[in-house]
Amino acid sequence: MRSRTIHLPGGAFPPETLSAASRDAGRAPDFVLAFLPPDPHLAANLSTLGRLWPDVPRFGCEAVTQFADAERTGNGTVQLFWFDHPHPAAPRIEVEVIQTDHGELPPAGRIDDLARRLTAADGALLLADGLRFPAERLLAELRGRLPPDARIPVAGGLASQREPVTRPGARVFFQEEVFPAACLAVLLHGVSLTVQVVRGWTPASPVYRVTRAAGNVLYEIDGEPAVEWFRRFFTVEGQLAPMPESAYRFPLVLEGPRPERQGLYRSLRFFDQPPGALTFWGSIEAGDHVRLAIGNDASLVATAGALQAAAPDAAILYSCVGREAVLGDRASEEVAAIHPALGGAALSGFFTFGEIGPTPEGDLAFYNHTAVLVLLREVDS
Amino acid sequence: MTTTPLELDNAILRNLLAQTTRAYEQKLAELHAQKEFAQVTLASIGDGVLATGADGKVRYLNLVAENLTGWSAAEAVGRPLSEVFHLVDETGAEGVDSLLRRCREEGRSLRLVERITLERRDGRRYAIESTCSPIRDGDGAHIGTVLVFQDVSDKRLMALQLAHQATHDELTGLHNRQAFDTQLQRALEETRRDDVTHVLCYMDLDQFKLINDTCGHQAGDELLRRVASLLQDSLRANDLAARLGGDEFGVLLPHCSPAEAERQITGFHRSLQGFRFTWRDKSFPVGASIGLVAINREWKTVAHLLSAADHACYAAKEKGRNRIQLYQENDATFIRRHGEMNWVLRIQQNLEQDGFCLFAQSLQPLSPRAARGVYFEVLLRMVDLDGRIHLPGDFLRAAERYGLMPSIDRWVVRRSLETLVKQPPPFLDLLHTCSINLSAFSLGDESFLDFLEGEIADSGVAGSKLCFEITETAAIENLGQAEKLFSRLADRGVRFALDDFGTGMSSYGYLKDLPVSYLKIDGKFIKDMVTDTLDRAMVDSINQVAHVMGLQTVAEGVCSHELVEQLRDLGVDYAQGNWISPPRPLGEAAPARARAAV
Repeated sequence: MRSRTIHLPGGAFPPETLSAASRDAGRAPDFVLAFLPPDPHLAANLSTLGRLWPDVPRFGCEAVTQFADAERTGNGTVQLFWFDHPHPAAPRIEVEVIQTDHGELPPAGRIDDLARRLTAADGALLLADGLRFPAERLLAELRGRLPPDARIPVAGGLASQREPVTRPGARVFFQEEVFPAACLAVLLHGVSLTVQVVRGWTPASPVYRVTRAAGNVLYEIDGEPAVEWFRRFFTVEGQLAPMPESAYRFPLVLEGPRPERQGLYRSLRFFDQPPGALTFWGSIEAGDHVRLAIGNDASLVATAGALQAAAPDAAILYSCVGREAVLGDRASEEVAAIHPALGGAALSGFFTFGEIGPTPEGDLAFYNHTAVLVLLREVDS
Repeated sequence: MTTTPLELDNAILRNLLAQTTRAYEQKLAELHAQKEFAQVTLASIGDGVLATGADGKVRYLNLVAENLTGWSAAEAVGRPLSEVFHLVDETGAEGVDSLLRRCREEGRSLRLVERITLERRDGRRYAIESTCSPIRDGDGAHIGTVLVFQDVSDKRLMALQLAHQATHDELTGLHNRQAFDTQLQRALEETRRDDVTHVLCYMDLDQFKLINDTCGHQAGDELLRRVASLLQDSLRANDLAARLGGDEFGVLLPHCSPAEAERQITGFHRSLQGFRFTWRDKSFPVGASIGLVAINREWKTVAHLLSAADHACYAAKEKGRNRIQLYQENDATFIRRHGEMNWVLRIQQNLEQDGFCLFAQSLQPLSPRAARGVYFEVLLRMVDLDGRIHLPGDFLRAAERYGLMPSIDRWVVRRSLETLVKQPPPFLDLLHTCSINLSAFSLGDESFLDFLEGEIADSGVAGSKLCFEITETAAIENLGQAEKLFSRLADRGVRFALDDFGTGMSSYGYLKDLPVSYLKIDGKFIKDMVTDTLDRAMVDSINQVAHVMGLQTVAEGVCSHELVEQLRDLGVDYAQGNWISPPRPLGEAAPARARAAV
């Protein structure tokens, strides 16, 4: 497999930049992955891609900040993929759009079908609306339907958008069409996916037990209102540190006891909303063992730089917006530190509203505050 | 807030540190409390607890362990376990170091309940039971051993006492029957294995019953203790004496010829003859009939041996009591005993197969005081398979000797009552007295009185129609039981007669204590009284005393008209004998006499 990531200049695409890449390769790409800013040019740019490669699967999602090889950009990236051994009669990539209404799960039959197709694939990429699609619940449903020890590599991210979310955004797209409240399942055949979850946080508090929680809302820890528990750590000189940004540097890490929840991170989204409670980007459950972790720009960059990766054909990086906030001025340094380990392979990606990757045991998991690096390599199918 | 993000983070970090420190301090406090609790618990429990490290040196003792070992925790910690927990080797049991090693190697708890003795630091010893368990850390590595032990001195003493009780006679302290049988079995096996000879001695006190009945059980018990003491003093160290029951004793003389045994037992017998048992103001000579049997490989079982010893003892009694008799297979006495054994079998068969029958012999009233209703004595006969009828003289001796009399008495009582109620009216109305014989053996049977009361009540025959005859000798020998039986049945209107009166006469005194209605004067005084003035005087004397005491008299064995006339002259109330009325089967005799009386 060959791959190339194109840095876009912003605004409407200059078609010649893209067609030049295609010309250099000698043929149209086999599929196109795009992470594009949620701006008014989106529809026009998707039309441009359609005109250039009308018969090629083209998909991606909106993202405020994207990665293009070793660089961070806000103008959007397009990654082109060419199989060394394309099989027109047997497609090596299938894209399925799963739409929902009002954040509800898809019908059970649809999830059953997706689970069957995942089981038959060599791996999958999932991209979901970052605000309106119940991605974590879908993963939980799939976990219950996949064969035990299936260990199918699945990775992805939730589309992002600028806050406050008063305008449309964080949507996925396939071909020329943009889908709100939807998830794209990209099933790959003949492609090996290796997924690494990059952390960079150090445990910093004793372990506590969640005594009341629902969905993404944490109400009580060890019988104490969650807000009061949080204040004990985040009150400085009698005042609460700015929330939620101060908490980005101190994410919550789950310490079991259920194995599939071991090592998951949760980023604070709202403090004291609903009153007395904390709302996170991912789920919290009663019975979870939790503790605060600590990290900073330096620890995240250092962890990224320590990554070891056998040179892949291509790579995709889904890094959490929480990390972006912690990295601050050094937000470009994470991808810059990772890319050299890839042996020159093309990379694209974006800062997500949540990452999808495996737990150490291989279960599907929904992360916050991590960077999920996907390494792709074509294999004989 | 004017702080920079870095200052803010540092402040939050300090908070985290403070909270973490606080949480760990709480955890430490909890752990400390748990440790305190565990130590208080260990200190409070009733068992001794002692822990060692992996090096086998003492790390911990609780208070009980301190008391039992005599070592304070401060002194003991760091010392080798064997120094503090000093086991005394009673039975070749392994030492404590070996125990620790085995516990570690096998990785499991070892329970020690055998005879283990812990020697305290001051030399005092305790019987203990202990459990030795390995201690492991979280990774399963052996880090020490814990010993939990209890002082079981009292328990062990009690077990020894129980074991002693199980094998010894409580009254005399000698071995009991069960232990004696076990030793006999071993001795018998040894003769088969090693061709050695032992001797079994079996003895029966001659005067025990008399002393027991006239002076009470306490006196009887004391006599048994004294005899047991004399016996033990006369024996060799290896001889085994036992009380086999009642007044019977057994001695096993191992590795001993019959001649040596006889010498040994003669020594005891002499001591016994020189001994007079004194109880309050009375003094009694004590004798014993003793049988000896050589134990050799010819004997098949312990039961055979005991039977032979019993035969020898019986032979000693036969030859005049208070002597020693060695068992000899061809001795005439033993041959007769074997004859009795045959009778025993026939009696048992006949009891099972209803091979007995009852006869009745009527009594003739002579005096105006004598009642005019039907009065007869029930007599027992045994009918063989060939139809031959045996008189009691043929079989009662064997029945008495082999304990069959209670069964025979019960059969007679039950069948007599059944026969009475089967007779057509007005037989029971005309019946004045049905007299039934009871043996001395039934008098001594605690359950016999209940049996009698039940049978009389169930039959519907009025107690006032019944009289039980007991020989004078049986009554005297079982005076206590006789009084009890007479007293309880007298409440139902039952009367009693002393049979064969005069043969064992020693005193009229006891007659005052027995509520008897009749004295049946033994036939040996009757049969010659026409010509023998002494016999006549005896009969006259008995008759007069009886009348003074309010009793009626019966002359037994009356065999002529002259006798009847003389008895009438003396004022004897009834006459009984074949001349007056020979015995006839009860079913026939009773109605016939009833008709005659009408």
